[in-house]
Amino acid sequence: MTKSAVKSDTAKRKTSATSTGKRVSALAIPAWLPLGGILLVSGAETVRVTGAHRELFFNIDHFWVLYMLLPFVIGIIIYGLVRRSRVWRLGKPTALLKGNFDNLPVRLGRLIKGGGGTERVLRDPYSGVMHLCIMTSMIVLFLVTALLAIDDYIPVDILVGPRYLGYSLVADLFGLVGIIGVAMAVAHRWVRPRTAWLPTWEDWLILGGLGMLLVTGFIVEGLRIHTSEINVNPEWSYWSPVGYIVALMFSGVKISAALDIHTTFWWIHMVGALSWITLLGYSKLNHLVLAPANAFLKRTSAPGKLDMIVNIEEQEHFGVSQLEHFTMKQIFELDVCVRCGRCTDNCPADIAGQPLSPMHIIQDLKSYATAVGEQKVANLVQGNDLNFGLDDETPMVGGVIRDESLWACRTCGACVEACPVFIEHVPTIVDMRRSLVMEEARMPDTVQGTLETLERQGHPWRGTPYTRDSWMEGIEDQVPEWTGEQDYLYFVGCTGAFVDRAQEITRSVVSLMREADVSFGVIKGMESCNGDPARRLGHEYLYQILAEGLIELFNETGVNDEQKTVITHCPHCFNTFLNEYPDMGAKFQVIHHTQLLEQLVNEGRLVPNAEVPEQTITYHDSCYLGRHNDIFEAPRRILEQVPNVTLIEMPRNREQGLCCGAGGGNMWMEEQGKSRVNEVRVEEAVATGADSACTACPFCIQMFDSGIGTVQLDVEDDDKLKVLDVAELLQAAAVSDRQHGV
Amino acid sequence: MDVIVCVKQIPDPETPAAAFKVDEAAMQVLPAQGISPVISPFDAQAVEAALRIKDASGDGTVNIISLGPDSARDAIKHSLAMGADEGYHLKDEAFEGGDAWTTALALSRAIQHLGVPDVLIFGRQAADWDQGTVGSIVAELLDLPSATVLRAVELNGESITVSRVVADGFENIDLPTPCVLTISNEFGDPRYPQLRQIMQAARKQVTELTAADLGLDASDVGAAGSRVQMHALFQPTSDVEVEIIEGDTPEEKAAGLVNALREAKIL
Ligand code: SF4
Ligand code: SF4
Ligand code: SF4
Repeated sequence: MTKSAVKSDTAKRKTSATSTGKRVSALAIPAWLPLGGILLVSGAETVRVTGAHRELFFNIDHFWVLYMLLPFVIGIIIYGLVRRSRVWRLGKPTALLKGNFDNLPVRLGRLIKGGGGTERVLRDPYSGVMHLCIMTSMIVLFLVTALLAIDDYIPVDILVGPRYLGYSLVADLFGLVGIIGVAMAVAHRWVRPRTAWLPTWEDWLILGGLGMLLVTGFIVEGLRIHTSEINVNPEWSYWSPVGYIVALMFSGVKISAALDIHTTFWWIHMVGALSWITLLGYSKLNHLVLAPANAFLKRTSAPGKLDMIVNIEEQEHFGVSQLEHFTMKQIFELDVCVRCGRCTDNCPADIAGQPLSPMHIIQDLKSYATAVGEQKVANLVQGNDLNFGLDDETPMVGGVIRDESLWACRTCGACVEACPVFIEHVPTIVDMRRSLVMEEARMPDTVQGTLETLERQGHPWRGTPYTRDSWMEGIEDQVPEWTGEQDYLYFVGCTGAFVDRAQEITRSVVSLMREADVSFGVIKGMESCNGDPARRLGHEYLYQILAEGLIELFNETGVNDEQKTVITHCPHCFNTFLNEYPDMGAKFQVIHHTQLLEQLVNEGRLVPNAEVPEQTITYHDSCYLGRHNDIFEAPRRILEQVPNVTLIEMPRNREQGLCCGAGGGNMWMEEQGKSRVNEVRVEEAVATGADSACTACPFCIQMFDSGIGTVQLDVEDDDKLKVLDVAELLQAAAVSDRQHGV
Repeated sequence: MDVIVCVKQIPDPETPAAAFKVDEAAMQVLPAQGISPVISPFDAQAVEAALRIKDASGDGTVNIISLGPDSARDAIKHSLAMGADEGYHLKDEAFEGGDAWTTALALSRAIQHLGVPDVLIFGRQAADWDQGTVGSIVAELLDLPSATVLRAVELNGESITVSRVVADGFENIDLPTPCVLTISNEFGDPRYPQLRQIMQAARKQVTELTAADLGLDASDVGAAGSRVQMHALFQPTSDVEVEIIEGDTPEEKAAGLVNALREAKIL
């Protein structure tokens, strides 16, 4: 049959010609053509049957109605998205949304790998496969339908003979793949729903709709085969195996009745498809479009970096207490969330049964943005005050989002790392904390005490019996004073100076550097906090004051110079210096002690050849070293080079490492909830059977020590898990001369 | 209801013992490196009490007076950031080296200069020297009723009901206004200032008053007017000796302990 014949005959009922059961969208966008072509050619050449093909609108009258509906469908989707975008635009524009794209290659890479390639979705095997099934099935079915339409309207016949049968096979199998995906999704929600994400009507509507489309597609196909293929060209129908089976199920139905049923289901299928697709503008199905966009929009700076409030003294508000205080990106992001629950599953606070679930933070803000945001938009349109009629609304911070949720966050970034659609929870949470602290001065007593100590004493360790130089008592002569001539400044930091256990690490680092003849110095007595605790606790102003003071000290002492490098043994100091101080005018280089020590071992300047007791060690990743700054291997490589040490991993390690519980200022807070995060983590470490846990963060060490106190309460001291800094173990193995074995 | 709070700036009581040093010859406490002086914690609570009275009464002012060196301004600014209205700084070389009496004298003059308010509030004592007398001396000098070491203050029409902390419990009494109150730590935590208020307080002018402004002669105040004389200032040292009482069984150890206590004439 020629093209023109098909066209002119489509309005008539035909029993002899061919047709398709699956026209998820017969009105396709030809842009998918290239991929469709590849699919088509693949495999089909081996088929020897000639002449096989089908017809676009087999057995359908008035098909033009579909074409009439199409602009409406597109219009409805666009209307939904535009309507939402008005709420997004309540936020403040960011540089990005003004069109200043930094790191375009990185963004595009993310768009392709993370957006199109769903890289992160695939990390979870079950839901990865499930999502892949649904996604590929939809894409393929869309393409094959498009191809059929194109084939129909262009003067050349592509879909004939072997190519047509290969095409049928691909279409049929991907329909099946889609059904498998939907079944997996239903099972996921029905059989093993996690409390974190009990499914909602939205889930059932999307899944039910999709399932219905796939099933009706097969019914239509089966009926087409039953009525037009199976008796005429039975060997063609084997190329649509599922359709063939469906056709067999209809084998008892009379052809004329079957044709009627076919028409009915064809319309149900097509109108259903068009209705379902409008969900794109009104439900989480919008992630088809928004998730890739968010992958592109996500910041490219270090994930542990917080944005600075510039000109803080001139701000009208501090942090976020109203929807419109967020950036457009932050509000936009709320709509991208697909409620997959991965952020919450990885959140240390949630794992420990504490009152925080990052998914609910995003979802609750989304509901708020829907209700209140749309009212605000309406107010703007009507020329009213933005908050007109909203006086009685539950406040966003303290009402919709509870204070204790905000305080329970460790800023550990596990949620951000886990989110398949690239949502950034941490800045959103910290922004609300900022308003609690700076706007409302409402915070737990422990936080207040910490901030006051920072203000008055320049460190967060309230009640410490030590001074900044206590750690070097008795070894003053072994700690060189910073002169501005040395290569490295060793920044001891508050924890390294004021906390007993951390002082030991400080001394180990000094001892190792002396052993390796590193040119370093310490600014004695004059250091002050770099401001990280204040910043993470939401007191941006205090952070800026402390940071300005420290940078001034660095300027005066010649540290703030591109040629100088600051060594820190605290990952929090490291992150702040490396990622946040450049905003404050810092020029110096930064290195973490594990990076330096690895270098020294590689250069042969430290030789870990002394026998340390035989032991297995599990390494705990500090969030601010690992996830936030990508230093996973340096500490592990040091441990691997120590004789007699066997390294074993906890199930959650590296990018998926679980926070010790101290981050985000929680080092100084009372924890609320079922259990404590450090206990959870210690249990994980103990479960590996390791003799010791090693880490590279003074907070982690303290958290582990106190966790062991309760988790291993009944264990003999000698059998308890030992906790060491990487530097301490290396010191034992590489520092022979006890003179500076401090 | 108008309130005046008198506050004092002191070395941070959280200064670690290792950083606390005195100059025995000059009989002075040396400022600890890197640790800024703070408003005396009891005084911060006094400011809190004043702010609550103002809030409860619905109007009035809370003004702050502090006597001290330049840095005392920070204690006043802190009170302003908490929400107080105006600050007055009694700053004069003549005030230096004074005692509780000269301080109370200068403060009472300043209060008269500003006009005696409905309520005058002090911390129960300054947390550095811990004498706890200035409030009572001021009450005496101004001839006002006073109640000290309070854990609660409540407005009761024109009078004030307070609850004192006493050795064997609490004592609740009513006072007429104007009166003098001193606040104890049981009162509760002072509020943490909001950033906006800190910024406003930073911009606010603090009025400085000298001895002459208060009609005081230099010989009445400071070291010259002092009634207390310091003879020595030193850090006491304490020796701790530990004796571990050995024994194979708990009974033996207990017997050993009893003997040791007898020998030491404790039992
Ligand atoms: S940063 Fe960590 S603690 Fe905070 S919400 Fe995310 S996962 Fe939870
Ligand atoms: S924020 Fe991301 S990880 Fe969390 S539920 Fe939403 S989509 Fe999933
Ligand atoms: S203390 Fe260690 S594990 Fe915990 S937040 Fe900081 S770096 Fe992360």
